[in-house]
Amino acid sequence: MTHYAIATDLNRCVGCLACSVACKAMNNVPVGDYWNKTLRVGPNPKADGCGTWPDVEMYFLTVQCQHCKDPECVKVCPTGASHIADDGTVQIDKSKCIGCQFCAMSCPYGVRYLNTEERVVEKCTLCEQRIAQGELPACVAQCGGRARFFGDLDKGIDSFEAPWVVDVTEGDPSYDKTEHTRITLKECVQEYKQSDVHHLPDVGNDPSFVYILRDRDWQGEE
Amino acid sequence: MELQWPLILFTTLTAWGCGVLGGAGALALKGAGKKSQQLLAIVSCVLLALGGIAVFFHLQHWERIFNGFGHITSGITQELIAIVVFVVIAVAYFVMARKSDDGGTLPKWMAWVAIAISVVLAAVCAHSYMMPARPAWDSVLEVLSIVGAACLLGPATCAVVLAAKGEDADACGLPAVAGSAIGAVCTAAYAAFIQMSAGAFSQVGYYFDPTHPTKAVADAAATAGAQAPLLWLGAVVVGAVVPLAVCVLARKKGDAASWKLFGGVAVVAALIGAVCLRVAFYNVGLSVFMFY
Amino acid sequence: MGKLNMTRRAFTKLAAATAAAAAVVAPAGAALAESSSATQSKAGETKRVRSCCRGCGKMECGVWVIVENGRAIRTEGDESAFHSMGNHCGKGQASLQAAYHPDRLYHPMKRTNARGEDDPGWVRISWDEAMSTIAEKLQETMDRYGGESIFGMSGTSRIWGMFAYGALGQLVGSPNMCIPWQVCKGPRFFATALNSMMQASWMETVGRPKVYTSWGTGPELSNYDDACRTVVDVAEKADTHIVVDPRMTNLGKEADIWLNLRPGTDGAMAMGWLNVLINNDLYDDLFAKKWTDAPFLVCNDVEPSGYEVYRFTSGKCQMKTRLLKESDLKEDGDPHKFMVWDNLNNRMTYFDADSGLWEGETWSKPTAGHEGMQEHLVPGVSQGWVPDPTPFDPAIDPALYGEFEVELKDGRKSKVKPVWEYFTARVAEYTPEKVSEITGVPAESIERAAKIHATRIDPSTGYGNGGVQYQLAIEHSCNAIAMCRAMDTYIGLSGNWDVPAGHRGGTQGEFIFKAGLGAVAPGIPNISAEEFNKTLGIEDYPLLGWWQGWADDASVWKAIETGDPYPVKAGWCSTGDFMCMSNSLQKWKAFPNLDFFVCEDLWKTPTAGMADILLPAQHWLETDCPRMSQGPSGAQGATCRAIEPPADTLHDIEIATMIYKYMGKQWGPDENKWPDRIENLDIMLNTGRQGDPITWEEYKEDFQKNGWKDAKVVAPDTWGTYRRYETGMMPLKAYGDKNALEEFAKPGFGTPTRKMEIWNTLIETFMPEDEEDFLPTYKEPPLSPISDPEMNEKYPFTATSGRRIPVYFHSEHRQLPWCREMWPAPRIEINPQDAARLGIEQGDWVWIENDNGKIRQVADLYHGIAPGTVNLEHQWWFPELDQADKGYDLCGCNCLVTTGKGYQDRISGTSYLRAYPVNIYKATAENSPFGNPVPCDHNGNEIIHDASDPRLKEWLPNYDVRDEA
Repeated sequence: MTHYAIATDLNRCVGCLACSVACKAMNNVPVGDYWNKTLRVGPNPKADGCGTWPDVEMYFLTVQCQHCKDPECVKVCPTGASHIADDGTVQIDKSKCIGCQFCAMSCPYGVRYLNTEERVVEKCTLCEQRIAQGELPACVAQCGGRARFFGDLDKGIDSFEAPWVVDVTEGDPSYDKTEHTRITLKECVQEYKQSDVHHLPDVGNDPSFVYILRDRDWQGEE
Repeated sequence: MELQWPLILFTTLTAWGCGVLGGAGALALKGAGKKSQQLLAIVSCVLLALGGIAVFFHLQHWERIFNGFGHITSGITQELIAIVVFVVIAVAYFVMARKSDDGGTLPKWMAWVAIAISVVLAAVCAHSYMMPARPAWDSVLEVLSIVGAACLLGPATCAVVLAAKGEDADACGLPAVAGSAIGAVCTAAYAAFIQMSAGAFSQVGYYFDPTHPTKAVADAAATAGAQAPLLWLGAVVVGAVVPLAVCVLARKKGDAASWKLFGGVAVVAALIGAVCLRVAFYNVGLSVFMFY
Repeated sequence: MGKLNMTRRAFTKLAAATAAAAAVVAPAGAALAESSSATQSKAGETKRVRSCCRGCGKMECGVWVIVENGRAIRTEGDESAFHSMGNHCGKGQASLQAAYHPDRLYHPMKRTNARGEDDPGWVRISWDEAMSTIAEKLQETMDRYGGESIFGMSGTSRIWGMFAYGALGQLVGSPNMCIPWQVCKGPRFFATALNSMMQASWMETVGRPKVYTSWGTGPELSNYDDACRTVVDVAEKADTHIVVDPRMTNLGKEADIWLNLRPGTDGAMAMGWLNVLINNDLYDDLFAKKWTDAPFLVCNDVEPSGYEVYRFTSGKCQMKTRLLKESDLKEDGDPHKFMVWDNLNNRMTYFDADSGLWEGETWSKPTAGHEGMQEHLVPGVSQGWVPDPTPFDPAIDPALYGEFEVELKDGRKSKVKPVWEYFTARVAEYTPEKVSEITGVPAESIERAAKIHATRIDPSTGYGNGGVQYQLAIEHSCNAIAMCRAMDTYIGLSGNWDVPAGHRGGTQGEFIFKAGLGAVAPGIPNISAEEFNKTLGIEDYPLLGWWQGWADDASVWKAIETGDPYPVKAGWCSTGDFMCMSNSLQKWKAFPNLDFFVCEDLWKTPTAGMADILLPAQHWLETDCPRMSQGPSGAQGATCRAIEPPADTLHDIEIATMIYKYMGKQWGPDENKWPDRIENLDIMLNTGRQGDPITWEEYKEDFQKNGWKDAKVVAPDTWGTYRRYETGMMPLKAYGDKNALEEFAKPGFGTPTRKMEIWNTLIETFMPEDEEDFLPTYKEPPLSPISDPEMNEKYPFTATSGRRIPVYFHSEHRQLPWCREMWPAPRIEINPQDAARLGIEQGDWVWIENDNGKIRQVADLYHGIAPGTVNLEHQWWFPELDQADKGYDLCGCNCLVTTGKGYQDRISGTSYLRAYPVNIYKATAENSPFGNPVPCDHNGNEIIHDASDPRLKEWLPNYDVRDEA
């Protein structure tokens, strides 16, 4: 089994919004709708500080379809338009969608919306057209902090990949080479403990996306 | 979330239709309201049809519903099945009533079947909204609130029809009072649940969504609190207490004119209440992670 | 040729038509490879053009432009661009929407309604009409009032919009250039030019410092000099990450030490770091003695004197210093010989600034040294060679401390002390405790941070832990030059000057890169020192007469308004804007006094709203230009035309050359007075070239194929070698980009004394009254709670501003849907405690006001800023408003700026953009025009403030408008 997902190192994420724009540029997402967003969480007062500045902490949280293992949206879809694809991602067959929007209601994260032109529901596809060709999702490829990593959950997040710098001194720094030069999460990020690994709130949907956050409180349930 | 008017109307009309057929079944059990049975079966279907029209405005590609509602465990597929079964039963009910000697006698089993499908359809329609992602919706009390709406609307409607047809409307008195009472309890219970739902949402302290700078911070407690007038004044007092009171009053008086008047008041009040409850329902329909 | 990259929709169709499994198999293989050099793509073809993003004016991020059927459909980061590490930020990616924007300028236009009306009545005209009119009006103005009555405005280092940086002045003979350089980077360059070498403020972050210090900046959002990818990685891998900033910044959330100082007190903090450095003996003693003027002797009993020195841009001037020279001691003494006391031999000796040598010294290029020893360098960045510090030869030990009696040439005795004595006495005032009092940061934190930074983690490298990435925030509170001089001195003394990950200025490559094509006419000299001496503001800021880099913006606008000291009657704005510094409201009011104003841009900006003629500029996707890292990221590449420019648009270089031609002025060399755009590129590539001549076409082809070049490799002496003050290879911008060997045949710095001038002879020469500034110092912002308590009682909040918005570059990109929908409205950051007190909730519009004006921004409840301080956004305007001023006055915080002598940096005139008092309160229907707390145009129409606004969709690319234009 394959189960593609994204792991984000929130200590490396600086809220630059490059992922959000990359998604727009790649996927023709309608203006005013989003497949991914970067929320600022905090600054919140630290547990044992003075209650405000400067004893505060914050992080940025990239939110999009979590490509859950047991997705609520698939459960409620009457037509099977929302389904789990062979690669473990949650996809929408737009030709089957009747636009009832119950999937949008059932999503714990609110990441689905009705495309008012096509009159079907849309959301992040994890750039299925790219990953099927061995490329990285646009939000991973263009991530400003190199904080996002894409891979197969079954192989563990340490194996997840981000793009990496092509050595021009080796010659042939072609587009193709730049597309396929990678660094793994383990090689790229600082060490983390199991207790640093978080998920968005799980209401039985078992979200696949992984967030690493060290040295501060993860806000909200998991 | 935003108010989904087509769905608000659909849910309310469906509950109403269910209540009417269920009310008819209750009368049939007692052998009452014989002149009205055919009409009640028709009314229930008409209400359902109106609900269907409302849904038409919600579904973006209604034409694709014929492509297959393949996903049997999804709430909407179940709703569709329940609606089809309901209509089949209502038609059968109508035919059997018509074929009976007095045009209004139904076998007891048919009466029970009508009551059963009414409860089932109301519950199934409500159950679609029971989603773990929306804490204020995710309760059996939400289901009961729709069944309750059916109980509030149906028998009272039947009583009005009976009175209009010159039948003994008081035959419907007990179902109407009982229905109102059940409805009042269900409505109040769900209203209380909504008011207490705030703790079930994820909290992240201060946060900012850069795309909506002018939006206030999502606040489940405040949102739930803000629904108090809609819930207690609209849904409970107007939508449940008033129908219950007027039904009791009508039953005390017992005459057709009273049922016409008070039954009518009960129906209108219950409709207002049902809509208030659904409006509040969508207002508090925040997802558990309400910051996107 | 197949499409290498399917669109999402194409994929959906494909997936529907075939089994999903089949789709997964098709790899992006060699069969699909294609040429990426050509810019013309035929129908159905996908081209990839390697280029350099100019979505902002900062980092030279390497990108790929994906072109389908002749249209750029997307831009992506180039992972082989080692200097930017494949970074491509949101504004860069979104910038292609500008190329196809329905509101873009496609033709020259002229105004038909009076200036000041909401509708300028734009009418399309030809280039010939535009140029003839401009030439005529400029000539008329020159004839009547003189060339200095024409002023210029420009944007920031792109490859267009640079005309006012020099070439306009050359054309009309005017020094009055208002350029944002004055408030951004310019003060650092000015200060480092005074102190050591222009641009020494620039730190080689790609060299991977062991301690990463980010001071008053946020490159993770601005990509200012370094890409987000680089700084995030550097900060994470550094042993210690220090942030100096009043606010919690996006990357600063990860800092090990946060010096959360009061806005505007950076200068005190810098003095505090110097104090810790010196009190703990962490400074580089040899550097202090050999390469700074610390051992030079200050004599208070002589008349200031000296020798003729270069002004920075044009001409010479007479140095006047009290530093003791041989000529002060002997009748026939040499004024170039600066006296020092030699502790080793107990006698006076000297350094000869003329020969660049100490008494008795002979010099040869040092050969001892080693490779850089940096960890975590990314592939493509080489270590470079670090010469070992050379000892004094013959051996001497210049005294830093002590008092010495000398006999002056007139026989008087005088007590003299080394500069170091004065300097350390000044620095001693700034104990961590004192600095804590000023800045509000605990003394222990100050001491800890400075010690960690200055204590070498690996002494075997022979150099420090890395520089300090100090950037523009420190320039905006009227202490700019002093602060930057303190920092530069700290960098030198802490062993971080021109060493790996230290400060080493702009990248030097195979050719001399001018920050923008069109910035300077290559074939003719700059204007003369006499013409520069007419610079507006020179009375208040005399050193502008040495620097010659800009006119004081506020003084120019005052002259436009009042005609004093002389009239300014015409102007040319080359993609600049009036909102970037000084007070926007004052300028708008003065605008109608101009007789003639030209604007060159992509848009009808608020500045364009006052223009008589608009000229349509080209987008970076449409332009060619060689490119070098501005800063020390060390890459050489190019921006390459990826799509055909539309309609009448022209590149800046073409516009500049054309107006020269229309005015009969030579632009290029004698043999080609008005070169076309490619010939201009050839000129640039072969100016100061190291190696064989090259044409643009050859250069471009090589770049497409082989990508970015490591300047350390292609320019081993001028960039691949560190400590260039030892080798004579430091670029001395004051000498026409020559290095010290070419100019003097000796090593050293570009200052008059060839030393890092802790005691600054130029400030001494030009501002003799201002003794305090001879040495690095700190002064409170003029309107701080300490300087002006009365004002602060009236306006109890301290406003800071200028933190970067990830999708905007200053005034730019407000009309790009992918940007505006990410950040629809300006935000004021308020501490939640203040907000609660004032009844302000998140999302409320808030009035912000002081004596200068009032604006509105949306409340962002932000615990990352101190109670009593608010952070404002700058340069907001609203392209959606159908009126000439585009609502520049609704939200932009520079409407609140105070100008005038005393309220600008006392040396550079730099505007007072941060740390000033304001009051804030909630905007309501009752206290807002049109009964609407949301800012509105003159007719009550709201600005766009939410991503759901349908007007955003009207700004999506419109190919028809472009094609038909």
